[in-house]
Order: sequence, then C-alpha cells, then structure tokens
Amino acid sequence: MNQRFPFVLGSLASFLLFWFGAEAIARPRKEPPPTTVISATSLFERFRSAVVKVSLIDKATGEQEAVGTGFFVSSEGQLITNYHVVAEYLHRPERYRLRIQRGEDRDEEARVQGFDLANDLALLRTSLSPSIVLQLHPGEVQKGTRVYSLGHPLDLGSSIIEGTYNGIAEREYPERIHFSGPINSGMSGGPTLLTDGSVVGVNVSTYGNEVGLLVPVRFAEQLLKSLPAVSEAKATDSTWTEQITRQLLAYQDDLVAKLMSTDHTIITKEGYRVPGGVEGLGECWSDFSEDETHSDSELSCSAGEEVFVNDELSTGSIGWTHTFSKSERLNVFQFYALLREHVDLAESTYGGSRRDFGSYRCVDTIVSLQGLPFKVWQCLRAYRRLSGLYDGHLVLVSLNEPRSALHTWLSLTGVTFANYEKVTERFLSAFGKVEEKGP
Amino acid sequence: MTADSNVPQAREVPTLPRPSLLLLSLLLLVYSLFGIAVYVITENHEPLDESEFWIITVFLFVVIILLTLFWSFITWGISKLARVATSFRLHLKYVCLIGIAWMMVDKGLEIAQFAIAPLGLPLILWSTLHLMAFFFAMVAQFAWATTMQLRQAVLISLSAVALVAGIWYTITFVQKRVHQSAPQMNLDLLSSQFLLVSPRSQQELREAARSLRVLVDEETPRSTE
Repeated sequence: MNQRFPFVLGSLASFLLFWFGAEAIARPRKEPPPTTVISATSLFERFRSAVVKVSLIDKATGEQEAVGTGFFVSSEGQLITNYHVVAEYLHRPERYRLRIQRGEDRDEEARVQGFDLANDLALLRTSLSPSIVLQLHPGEVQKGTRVYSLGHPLDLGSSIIEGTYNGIAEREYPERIHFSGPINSGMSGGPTLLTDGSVVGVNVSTYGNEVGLLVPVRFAEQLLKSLPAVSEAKATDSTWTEQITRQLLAYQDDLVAKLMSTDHTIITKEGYRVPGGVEGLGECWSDFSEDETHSDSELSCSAGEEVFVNDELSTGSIGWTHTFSKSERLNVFQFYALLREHVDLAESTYGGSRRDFGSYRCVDTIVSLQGLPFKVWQCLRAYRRLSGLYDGHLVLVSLNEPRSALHTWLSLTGVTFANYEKVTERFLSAFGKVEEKGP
Repeated sequence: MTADSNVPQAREVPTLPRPSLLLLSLLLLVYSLFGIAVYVITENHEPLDESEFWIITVFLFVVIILLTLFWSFITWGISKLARVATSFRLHLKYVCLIGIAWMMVDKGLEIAQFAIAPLGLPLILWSTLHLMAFFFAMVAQFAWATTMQLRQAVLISLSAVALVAGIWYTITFVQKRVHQSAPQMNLDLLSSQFLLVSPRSQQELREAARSLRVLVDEETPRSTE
C-alpha cells in the first residue's frame, strides 16, 4: 500500500506570502544578481517585496476563502503562483475574485493570464509595478545545496524557511524537486531561492515530516514563454474550459506515450504472470493480509499523479492493483461471495459531481488471456464539460481455480478512448499462467 | 348432445387436511432454519462469534416469518378477489411449503451448474429456470390452497409473476436513478466459472468496449457551462 500522504498546500486552508525588501532583479535583468547572500536575514530583507500574498476572495462576504503565495517575474506586474491557488476563481469567476497583498501597499486585483495544469502553475497579471522581480535560475543545482522557501505558512505571517535541495524526486510524475524543509499550507506558489536570490522551484506540496515538493522552475520559464508578455484580452469561462481540456489531453497523451514506450516489470506470483510497475513513471507497493478464512496478497502500482482541476475534480491518473486471494477454509460459494465484495465497484470509489460526469456503464464478458480464463468487467463514463475525456475501469477475476483467484483492477481517469484502448490492450497482453516446474 | 352434458361439472375439490397450528409452526421453523442454513453456507464468509450468530439467526427468522405472512396475505387476498373459497391459514401453510421448495430449487439450480457445466448452457438459461420455478410454485400454491381451477391458477400466477417483475424493475430503476453515477455490474462469478465453454477473445473485448463508448456518449450530454 502506498504509504505517502501528500498534502497539497493550496487546500482551502490559508496560504500566504511574503515580501522581501531588496533591490529589483528585473526581467530582462538590468543588473546581475548578487553572487552571494550569506544569511536568511539578508536574503529575506533583500527579496521580500518580490513576493505577494494571493487571496481567493468570496465576493459576497469580501472575506478570504483560501490564500497562497506568488512572486513577481516581470516588471510588468506578472506573477507566478500555483494553479491550485487560483483554480476556484477560474471555475467560478462570478463568485470569487483574486486579491494581491504586498506589505503595506494597498490591495490589488489580479487576473489569470495563463496556467500549466499538469505542473500546477499559473501566471497572474496585476497593475502593480514591482520594484524587484525574481530571476529564474537557469542551470543545474547540486544536491545538498542550501535553499530558502518563502511564503505565509498557515496565514501566520511572512516567513523564510531554510531547507535542502535534494534533486529531482524519484518516481514522481510530473517531475518535482525534493525539498527537505518544513513547508506548509499557505506557501503554495511561493518561490524557493538559492542564496543568490534566484528561484529554483515553486512550492507546491508536502508529504509532511519535512518532505516537500517543488515545481522545477524551468516549467515556470516555459509558461512565461508560451504566453504574451501582458495580455489585455479577457479570457472567457469557456476558453478556460477549453484550455483545461487541451492541457489534460496533452498531459495524458504524454503519460500514455511514456507508458507505452516503457515495458512493464513482469511479476510472477501464485502461478500467474501479471504486469507490474513502469520504471520512471510511478511505483508499486506490496501488502499482505491474512485472517482465519483467507489470505490476500496485494500489489498496487501507479503511473503518474492525479492532476488537480478544481476542488471537485482531480483526474489524469493510471493505477492498477493485483490481489491474489486464497482460501483453504471457505467453500466455493463463500469464496465467490468474498470475491464479489472485492470486485464490486462501490459508489464511493466513483464519486464526482453530476455536473462533471455522465453515468457509468459496464459490460462483462469471459475472456481467455493467453489461455487463462478471466471474467472481465469494463466500466466507462464520459466527462460532460471536458469533452473527449473518459474514466475507464477494467476489472478481472481469474476463473481457473475454485478457491484461489487473481483479481485485478486497472483504473484510468481523464483519458481519451484511444488511450484507454492502448493501455488496456497492452496491460491485458502481459497476463498469463506460469507453468509449474516439475521436481 | 344431451341436456345432461350441458350441465357444468363441479370441480372436484381435493380434500385438504386442516392445517393445525402445530404443523404451521413446524413448517415455519423448518423454513426459517433452511433459510439460515443456506445463508451461512453460501453467503457468509467470515467466522461468526456466538452473538453474531444469534443476531443473524433472529434477524433472518423474523424476516422470513414476516415475508411468509406477507406473501400469504397477498395470495389470500387474490383468492378472495377471485371468489374462491379459501382460508388464510391454508395459504400460510402452502406458502411455507412453497418457500421450502423454492429455496431447494434455487440452491439446487446453483449447485447443478457444477454438474452440467461442461454442457455449456448459457447463463440466461439459469435465470429462465429460476423464473419458471417461481411461476410453477405460484401455480401449485393457488391450485392447491384454493378451489381454483388450474387455468385460473395459471392466469393469476402469471399476473403475480408480472407484478413481482414490475416491482423489481421499479426498485432497480429507482436505485439506478438515486445512484446514477455508480457502475451497475453483474457480479455473478459463480455461474461464470462453470460456464467456460467459449471464452471471448481480446478482439471481442475491444469491440465490447467500443460499443460501451457509443452508449456512454449517447447518454452523456456535453455541457459548456
């Protein structure tokens, strides 16, 4: 079982930011950044004015509903923050507005200029003229480098957090930097700086216990380059929905292409051959449980993380679980009653707003996979607003033994039907029976 | 044709033993115990401790008795509407008998699947057999427990089967509306395992998925809100 418990920083809790008074680093930079800033104190003082608090304001009450952090990346008032900080504003602009606060300055309105859904980044535009903007670090950073994360943890005021850059996190997709330091809710979208003040990553999430994740800054650079410097055109709601759909399609196309170009690890267990994990795209966890009546040996794998779209919808994940169940004590009726519970797709597993999804429809059939008989269910539902996307589930139960069985779930969310077909077909081709060797 | 031949012959009503309260109680007890045994043997997969055992036993006992009384009342009502002489106690007795027979047929069919699996009979056959068993049980009950003629019993039984099917369909329909987004799966694994004559190919699985997609697309209106 996956032991990680990610905590996305931009939940409905408070998020903050911070400002640093220091000289401007304009983009394009007019002056080279200082080569060395020794202490956290001087770093904070130097760059605090480039960092702002981004609040999601309920128009009805005028009070904040969520708070995050952002930082200036251009002298025209453009800010980088996390997509999840502004997601609700994008989905319900009639209900929310975005407020920018910087030190003692008066509050400013912000608008979304563009976003990168998969990398959880958004580019905001304001009418502010910052005295300082942060430079995005262009090169490699060595593991073990001292770095500083800025933000407003738990809305308790501007803070600077000292931590360690630990390189690209293994098995994370999309790519994330492993930051060892206590970053918390409220710091989402804040910058993590080298001692020279250049940004190496954007705070995005934490697993707790000082294990934080940052978005590599090159994705912020790409977002900036992909959009006009300052756009006056106001995007409509349908434009945002189209962009979200387009980006989700691109994300899962990329994920599926990587999945298809990399072989599954093949696992042989209990006489079966099954597809295991995919190197570089995720991870697998084993679990074993046993009681008086039966034993379950489980293998859960994933490829890619879910993409946060809004508070009601996260999608774009691919995961599968194999369970090898065996019983000496149950009769065949009881064993199949047990299996029925395992394969029943409870409603809680398939939640989601009716505004976003149609109903599930399922078909079942008995299929021979490399000579091994399985009962296979396929369940599919279409997205209502994100056109062309589906959630698909494939459930298999082996039928070759009366009191032992392999049952497998493959779940794909936010995929095109073509990708659903590609992934399931390759997945199914990896199943088989391992011949028992004689003594 | 003689005048005599035009006189309708009165149906010879079988002389039924008057069911005693003791016999009824015994039948109900057998019926309940049989139901509990079937449940424990086929459904429950966890070992029960003593308190769980008694809770389940009492629960099932009460449920079965209530169902029996309910069904007896319905059939008694039907026979009253059909103006055939009958008594509620007689119905109760026959419902108990039919209940026991029904459970035996039901589980017997399930077990029979093991024996005749190699014949490769399709799954639909089992559903048909279950429905037919229910139908014949109804016919038997009306024919035996009342003074109905066989033809009357068949017609009333058909109506009863249609009524049950209608109620069942309505409940299923409401459930689907309430749990609209939940997948509706046929979870019958036991039948599947023993009906393996012609498993489909992956190609057929792919075609099934494509049909599913067409269905899902038709049913899901796209929204631009």
